[in-house]
Amino acid sequence: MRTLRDEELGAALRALETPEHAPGFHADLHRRLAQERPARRVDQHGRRAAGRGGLRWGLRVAVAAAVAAAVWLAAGLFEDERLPDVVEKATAAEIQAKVRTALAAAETLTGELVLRGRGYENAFGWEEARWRFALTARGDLRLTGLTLEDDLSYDARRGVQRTLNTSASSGEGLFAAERRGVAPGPPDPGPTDNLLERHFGALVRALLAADDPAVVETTYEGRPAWRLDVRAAVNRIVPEFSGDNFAIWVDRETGIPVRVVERKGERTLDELRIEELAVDEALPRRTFSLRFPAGMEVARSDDGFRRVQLGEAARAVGYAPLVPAWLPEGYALAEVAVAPGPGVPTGVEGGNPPSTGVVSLAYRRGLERILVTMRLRHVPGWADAWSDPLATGEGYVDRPETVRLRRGALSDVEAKVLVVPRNTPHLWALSDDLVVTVSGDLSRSGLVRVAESLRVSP
Amino acid sequence: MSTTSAPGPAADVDAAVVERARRGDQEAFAAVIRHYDAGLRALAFRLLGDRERMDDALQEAYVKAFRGLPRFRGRARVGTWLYRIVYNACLDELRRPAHRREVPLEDELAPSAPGGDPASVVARRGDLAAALAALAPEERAAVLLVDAQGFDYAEAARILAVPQGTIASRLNRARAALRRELGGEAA
Repeated sequence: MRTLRDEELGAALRALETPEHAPGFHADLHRRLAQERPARRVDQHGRRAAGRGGLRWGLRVAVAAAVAAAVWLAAGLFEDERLPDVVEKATAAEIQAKVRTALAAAETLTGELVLRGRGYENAFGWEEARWRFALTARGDLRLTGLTLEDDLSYDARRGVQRTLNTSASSGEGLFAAERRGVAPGPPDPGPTDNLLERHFGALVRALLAADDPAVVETTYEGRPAWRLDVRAAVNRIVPEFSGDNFAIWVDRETGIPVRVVERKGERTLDELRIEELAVDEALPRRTFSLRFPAGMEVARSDDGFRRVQLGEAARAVGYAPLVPAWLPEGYALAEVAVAPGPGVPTGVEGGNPPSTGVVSLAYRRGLERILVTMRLRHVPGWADAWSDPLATGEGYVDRPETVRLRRGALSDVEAKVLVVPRNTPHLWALSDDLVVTVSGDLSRSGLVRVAESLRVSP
Repeated sequence: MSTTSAPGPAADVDAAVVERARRGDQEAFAAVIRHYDAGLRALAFRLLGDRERMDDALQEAYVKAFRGLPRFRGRARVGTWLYRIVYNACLDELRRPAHRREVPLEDELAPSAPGGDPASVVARRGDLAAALAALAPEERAAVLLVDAQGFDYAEAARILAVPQGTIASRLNRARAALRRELGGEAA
């Protein structure tokens, strides 16, 4: 049949505007494709044993990067997705995908975290610091100082953190503390992992959050590498300790970050690297329950969060919690924690009303995590004045995106979305009765989609 | 009206790139996608009416294509094959119950009553995009593929999985409605 075409109409139709993909589309796509790859290999070649013995260099590097991202994820942080033009976008998205694939499959990660740099020297009086760390897919954490006498364990199942630190005031002697009822994570105070969250996490996240990475082909330790230069906002309170750009070296063969440097102009502030890495090592349960020296006085506190079954949450807080009807594939509900309160206020400098009737839902996929929290909006005796519960604060000015949610329990509610390198990607919204947050391992579109899927728990 | 002097569908992507993608090379697959993405976006957006749904459908379609590419035997052009997957993903998206009761919020162009009288919609909105959105998805797809994107009847028929005669009849209906918006005679 001969094709007849209406050229004038065709030209008019072609002139209609078509939007670009939303920010994060390509990053999400590459991530999903990376997750498809193992299945494709199985289809084509049959099942093969993974065989983790005898790690070659490339795999070790991959594991290193996975650990880097995992530590950052354990701290409840994640990515941005605005990426540059097509070629570089694909490159950055590919890096994200490889890291994420490793994370989704890993059960435990161990290794040494090494920090070195002028910023740390100036601020804290040391040049290089090392910690031994261990993480699990359940959210457990152990962080043991090798150059400083400090130790931290966090048992996610029980919500118990133990720390043993050098006295901050005198610099001498050890101070033991136990926190019970610890929240799963932001915006409520989770385990005290400031080191990971503020430094390691920020650096790795910078790679994935880059909105304008310049990519340079280079070498690192004799191997072909890309170096990505990423701009970052400067802290307004302590600009001298705050970089305005990151340089991240990525192994070209594996697409994995191998070195991260925070810089101010051309001046290096800090460098981060991972050593002695291992994946899926068996870790005894006691790893995440620090033992205090006999006879030591222990400062004990209780944050008020209790682990419950989802069906028990409503009775604890007096309302039926909202639960997501959609999450990225592979996530499962890992923790339900409730805190009737009143508890620690959220927001910049704790400026929000005290947290009451809090429900915190943690979903996990390997070492990745998503947190959905809600708390009562109206607190007797307090003004109905809420700001971002997860605001970056401490000298950083946030510029969130406003999004009107279109479906679900929060339909027609205006939400704020913030995805920046120095903070956990998150969304927050005020319903008539609740303050709701969605945060963690999600892109901008993922945050919105989870929020729009929230339904009242049956 | 003429035959194929309009800009045709995107030229075929390099066969070597397709072959690398077939073997599971993610970067090669990304290159294939980038090659066809503009046209696929235009189709999906005009079928679905807003960017978020467009992206949802394209994500699903691209992942399905990646899964299915090893089984792609090259009997059709890879572009035609991709368009078919995207079109089906858009139909799936349109069938989703959550969307049936929604009015698009972001798209000022799309009317809210698919299937309504195209002429009245045009009069109300004065807008070609509105008239297009008022068409049935099957008619919309036909006119977008043939008139806007330059596919011939045979390729459009493969994409939409209908006979070529059906393509022709859908085009007739679509053009008649859209021509009113352009202020010209029925095509």
